[in-house]
Formats: sequence, C-alpha cells, structure tokens
Amino acid sequence: MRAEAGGPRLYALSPEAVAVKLRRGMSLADARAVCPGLHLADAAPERDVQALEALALWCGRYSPWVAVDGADGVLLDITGCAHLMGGEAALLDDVAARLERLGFAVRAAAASNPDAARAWARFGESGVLAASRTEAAVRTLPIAALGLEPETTRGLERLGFKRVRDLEPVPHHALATRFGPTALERLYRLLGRMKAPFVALSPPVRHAVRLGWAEPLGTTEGIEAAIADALASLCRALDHAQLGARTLRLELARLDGALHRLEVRTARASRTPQVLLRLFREGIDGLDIGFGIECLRLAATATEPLGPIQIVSGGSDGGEARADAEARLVERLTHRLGADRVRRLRARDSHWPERAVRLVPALDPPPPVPWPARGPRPLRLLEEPRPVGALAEVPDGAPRRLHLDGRPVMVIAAEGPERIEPEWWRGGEALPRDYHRLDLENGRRLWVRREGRYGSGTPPRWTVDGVFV
Amino acid sequence: MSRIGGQPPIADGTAVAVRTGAADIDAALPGRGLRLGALHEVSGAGAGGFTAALAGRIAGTRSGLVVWCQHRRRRRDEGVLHGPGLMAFGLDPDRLLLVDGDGDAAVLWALEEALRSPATAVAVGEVDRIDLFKSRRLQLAAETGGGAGLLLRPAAPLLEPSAAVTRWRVRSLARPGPRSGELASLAWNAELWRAKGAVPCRFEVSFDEQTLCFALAADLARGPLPAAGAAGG
Repeated sequence: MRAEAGGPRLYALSPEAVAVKLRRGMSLADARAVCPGLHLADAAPERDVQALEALALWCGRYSPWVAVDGADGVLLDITGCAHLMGGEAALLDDVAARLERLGFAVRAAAASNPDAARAWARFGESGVLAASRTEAAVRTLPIAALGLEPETTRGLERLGFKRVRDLEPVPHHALATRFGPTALERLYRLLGRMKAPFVALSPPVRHAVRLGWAEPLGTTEGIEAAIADALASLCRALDHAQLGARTLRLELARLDGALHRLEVRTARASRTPQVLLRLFREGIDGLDIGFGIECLRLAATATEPLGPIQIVSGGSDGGEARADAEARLVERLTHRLGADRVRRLRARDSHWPERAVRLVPALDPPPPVPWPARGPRPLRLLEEPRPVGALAEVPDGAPRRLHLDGRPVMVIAAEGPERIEPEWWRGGEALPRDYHRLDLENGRRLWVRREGRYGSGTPPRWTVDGVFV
Repeated sequence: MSRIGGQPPIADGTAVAVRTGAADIDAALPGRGLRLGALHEVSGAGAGGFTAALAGRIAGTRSGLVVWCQHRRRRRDEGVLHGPGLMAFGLDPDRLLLVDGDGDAAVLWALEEALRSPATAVAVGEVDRIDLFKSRRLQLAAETGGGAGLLLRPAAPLLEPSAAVTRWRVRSLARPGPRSGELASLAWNAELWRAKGAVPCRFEVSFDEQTLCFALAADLARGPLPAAGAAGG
C-alpha cells in the first residue's frame, strides 16, 4: 500500500490477493470493499531497490555479469557460464528453486538476447527460449513486452496493435516518427536485430575464484580454511599473469540468501596467500554466519604488475624484505584503525605552516616531495591557535611576558620575528603574520604569532601556534 | 645518514645500542648507549622534545619507519606532530608513520604492532596508563622486531613498575640565549632514575640541532640522583 494523491492505493499484491481480483493501483477503499480482511503493509520502494540489488549480487554465483533490470528484475549474462551448472535449463531451474526457497515468487527465462529474455520472463511462458525460436516467439508477445513507457504502450494499443508482430507491417520510419526512436529501437532489440549494451552492476574482474559446498560451512575456522584455499588458487592465477593484488573482494553467501561483502586493500601489490589471508582475519572474526556459508567468491578487483617474487635469503640485503614488512605493518594498522588514522606526512608547497603538511593515508601515499627549507618550526602545531595575552617592550617587538593559562610567565629569550605574508592568491582578508620563538622561564619553548599591529586598523592579536618542547 | 654527526653510524643489523652523542651518558648506560630491541620510557615536562631527540638519534642509526602513535587527547591539547619541526630533531618526515589512537588501548596496540615489525626503526607511543604486564608485552615485541620503543608519558606517576630497560624523568631547562635575539639549544635536566644494569644518575643535557647530538650542558655535568621524591615531573 502506498499513499498517493487521492488516498492510499495498492502498490504490490500477493498471489492470493490477485486471486480475489484485486489489482495494482486500486484505491484502498475499493480494495477493502472487495476483500474486507485485506492484510496491508506500507510500501518501501527504496528498500525494494536495495533488496533487488542484493539479489542481483547474490546472482553473481551464476555469472559475473549481473544487472538490476527495472523495478522487479535481475538480468544475467550467462554466455559461457551455463555449462558450469549443467546447461541453460538446469541453470534456470537452480535459480528458480533457490529463490523460491528464499521466499521469492520467480519467473525465470533465458533467451538469445537480453530483451527477449526479459520479455519472455514477464509476458511469455518463461523457461529457455531457443535461439532458433526466439524471433517467432517474441512476435506473439503483447505490445507491453517492448518495455516502453506506459503512455506509449497505451497509445499503440489504442491504435489496434495488440501483439509485437502487428508492428512489423508498419513502415518503420512511420513508427519512429509517431512513437519516437525508442519504440523502434526496442522492437529491433527484441527481435535481436540490434545489440543493447549490458551494464553490469559491478564490472567483472579477470581474476576471481568461486567455491561452493553442498554442506554449508558453519565455523569461522572452516571459512578461514576455505578463504585460504581460494587465495591459493587466486594467487596461482596472479602468479601466472605476473600480477599482484591491491584490492580484494570477498563475498560470502549465507544459506539464507544474505551476502557478506568484505573488501581489503594492500599497501603493496602482493600475491602471497598467507599475507592476504591475514587481511581478511579481522573481517571474518565475529561475522554473523547464520546457518552457514554455502558459497564463497573471491576476486582481485585491482591489480598491479608484479614481477617474479625473489626469495630473500635472510642476509643483510633486506631492502625488499623490509619494504614488504613495512607494507604488512601499514595494512595491519589500517585495517584495524582505519585509513584516516594511519597516515604519512607529505610536504605541500605553502608558506603557511598549517598548510605546509599534508596528511595522506599510509596505504597509498603519493611519492615524497622534498621539504622546503624554512625557518624554525615547532615539533607540534596546534590545530587551533590559542589566544594569549602578551606584553612587549617595544610596540612591534617580541613579548617580554605572556599570560598563559591565567598566569603570567616571563620570557627569558626570544627569537624573531619571522614574517609570513598571506598567500594573496588564495583571497580572503588574511593579515601578515609575525612568528616568534620564545623560551619561557618554566622551560617551555613556544611558537607564538602576532597578527595586526599597534596603531593600525586591527590591534595586535597574539596566539600560541606551536610547541617546540 | 651522512647528516648525523658524532659517532659514525653503526652498520645496520649489528647495532645493539645507539650512542646519544654525549660520552658521559653513553658510559652510564648499559651497552654504552640506548639499546635497540628494547623499550625506554620518558616522562616529565618537556618529555616530547627529549623523546623526539632520542628518536632522531635512533632513526639516524637504524633504517626503517619512525612510527609515532599519538593519543587523540594529546593531539587536541598539544597539537599534531609537525613535519618540518621534526627535522630539527634529526627525524625525516618522509619516514614518519603517524598513527592516531583514540585511547591508551589503541595506542598500545598500535605500538606493539609497530615494535614487532622489522620495518620499524623506532616507535613512539603516547600513553597515560600502562601496567607492568603491558610494558612487558611491548618489551617482547621490541625484542622481536629489533627496533626501539619509546614510551612518551609526560605525566607518568612516580615509581610505577615497568619493563622498560631505561626510564627517564626529564624537565626542560630555561636558559638565556647566548646573545640577545637568539635562543640557547634545548636543554633538559634528565634523570635516568632506573636502568637495567646501571646506576641511576642525573645529567644536565642539551641537544644540538646542528650536529643532532646530545651534549652535557657545560656548567653542570653529572651528579648523583637526589633523594627520591625530591625531583618532580
């Protein structure tokens, strides 16, 4: 049921509801009149979309090429995949049987082109449509099988076109002029005279492994062993192609149809199963496996060329081994703490201290650039400069006393100022800054900044920007 | 690394201890330097700079990552490590791996992981509370990885048990500049109040940003440790 202008209307129906002659789009009042004991639920189209997408991903077990089709369909390109399941008919049976077990009402069809399959599932008998029969079969389908806008479909029907074959005697240019180029395109596609692009939900990958079991895996140890198996064969394939994985995607299909998806990134291309397995451990620990995992898919979604792996003979020349150890450390820290917590520092070309450093994720840092030589800089830079009271001997000189945390502190030595002009090309109303290094009587060394000056429009404002020790 | 002055760097892999650059301090330390593959602790006001200087000395001797595990609260109160400022302590910002932990547990975990890795030259961890058991874990991890661990604890409680092989309590010293408009080099009153296999002692030590060496401050060199409790953090 869904609220619409003029009151709630029926949005979707169960087979039982259809049996008592309820229709989609009926107003709630009418429906109640027909069937007083009607059981209602609110429609949630967004969640339908999500569920359909999840279902499409689940279908990845049959083919890497899956796509969501409209609001109620999933499209699979099973070219070259069907024999794995024992033929097209067997594949369709398997799809239908499994989905029905999960509680879906299914109509499954296979045909020699996607549009024919789509139409055959919705308006035909469903099942496998042999290539030789396709053209003849789709001709008998109703006009709605073209999948046009409801308005166009109604227009065609009003003109007396009931079936697809009725359109064929009509000159095609007239069809295009009257109903737009889409109508003609759909007709051609349905008849297999024009190829439509297939946009897969996730682009298929070259290197992937799929494992399925008759008996579901019910323990984390079992799953880990299975992942190790899958990794071993994936890494063999990568070795053959002289590639290393940068991103891996693991999908675990639960018996009840739910799909767990884990993605891990490596800091350095790798095809060592033990190393890659370690990355998944964090993710599968404490995973809700329900009644068990029945199918596993593992894919290297991003790869990089990686030459033959050298076997390092534990000597002092451990440059390669050290780089590897470094990558492992970064991966481990990143997977536990997050990419925004494990970072490296890179120089940025700016005179302003707060812009001079860029923090980049350590997993994939840009190459280092030289650090420019500038004046003394503090060990720590405050994220928010702290306002401080300052007393200077001469108007624009270094302060002699600071007012820190509500207490006066004497400055025993000062150095500066270092003048940093605003970067005018950034715009804004920034003032030039004067930085001083100050040694305080309590042993601290601070970096303080003055903006504005005595006797000008903006009175001087002192802040602590950084700490040296 | 050619820019590091003082003692020539010891060939990597064979180094067991890193010279501080001040002969008297090295002589006072077991192994004549700051031991690698071990955990060290620095507490007190001004511990940050002292720790950075020690880390710089270690990074000049051993190649690999400098891992600095920051505590989120300290980051908020005292600021984030600033790349250009690290260079004054002999730390190459490009070698730094900066890890942010939400609390002691996260920092300790990251520190242990870093120490266990052979890729780490030196790992610094900012922690408030650490017990003997956890410090033992860190010490073992450092022995495995071979790098040095530095616990940076500005406000560490006195006389808490720890497995750290050396424990320093430092206080930064205020010194007038050599000339007007110039600053003296950074200096600390550093108490080595506990060291495995050495006698506790106290130094007034400065760190020269040019040579990246520690040196004993000229006027006061070395003395015995004052009675316990007299020196506060």
